[in-house]
Amino acid sequence: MDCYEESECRDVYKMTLIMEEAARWYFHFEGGDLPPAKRASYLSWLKASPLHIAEMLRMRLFISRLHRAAPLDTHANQSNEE
Amino acid sequence: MRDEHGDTANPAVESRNSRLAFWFNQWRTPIRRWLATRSSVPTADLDDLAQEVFLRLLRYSDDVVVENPQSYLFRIATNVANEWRERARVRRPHDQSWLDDLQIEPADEPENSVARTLIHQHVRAAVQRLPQRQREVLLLHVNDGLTYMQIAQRKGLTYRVVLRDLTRAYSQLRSELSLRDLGAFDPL
Repeated sequence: MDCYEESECRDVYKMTLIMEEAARWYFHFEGGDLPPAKRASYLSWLKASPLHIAEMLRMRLFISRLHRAAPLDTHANQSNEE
Repeated sequence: MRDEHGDTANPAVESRNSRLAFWFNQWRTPIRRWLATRSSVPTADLDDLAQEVFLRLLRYSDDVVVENPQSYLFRIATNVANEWRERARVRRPHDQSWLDDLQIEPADEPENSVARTLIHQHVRAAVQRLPQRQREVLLLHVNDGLTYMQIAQRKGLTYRVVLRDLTRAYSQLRSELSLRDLGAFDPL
């Protein structure tokens, strides 16, 4: 990922972390049966920053587009084994 | 949702909100610049929407929201998106397709077939670049709609590994593909 100034790199790093946290929460939740303590942590994470909310909304947009693009190529399975 | 806006009489809530707004404003310029290169959704709009959703979420009692934080989040976002869409319809009728996608049940819109082919090429190429197991797990999830448990059984993996593979596959795709690649701005 490109970044040129130190402050910019810090921002990119921070956003990448947020992106990964968002993905983790999203899939954890989609898997169902989150214990109450986990749900509470998820809520605290959401309430900690509007940036978390923004990333969650991007995530939703992204997933919704990904599902719309499905089926995602099935012959990928045969053509690119290593 | 007018009652949610009327809630500024409480000084504690007001001071907390203004501190948050201050903090958010400090961060938004560098982050917006970065995000502007990542997605074709108008970044200012999505940030503003996220802030509105954030403030509304803070006003709900934790006891209620904690049962189902994700559904609450998306329900609030849907409400805000609906309100905004009403406004956008008047002001800018052309760029509201991303608002539609925040709906809990996105409307099925007709898609231009050339755009669709391009989208598929981008998505397919990105999916091909995933490590093999992550790719297989993702395909079982997205194409076949299997639950994590079913995927785990089929691939002889643990639930935890399936969850981790999905998260990693998604993060990888998310950083490689912009929303434009996924057709966020298909001609309607």
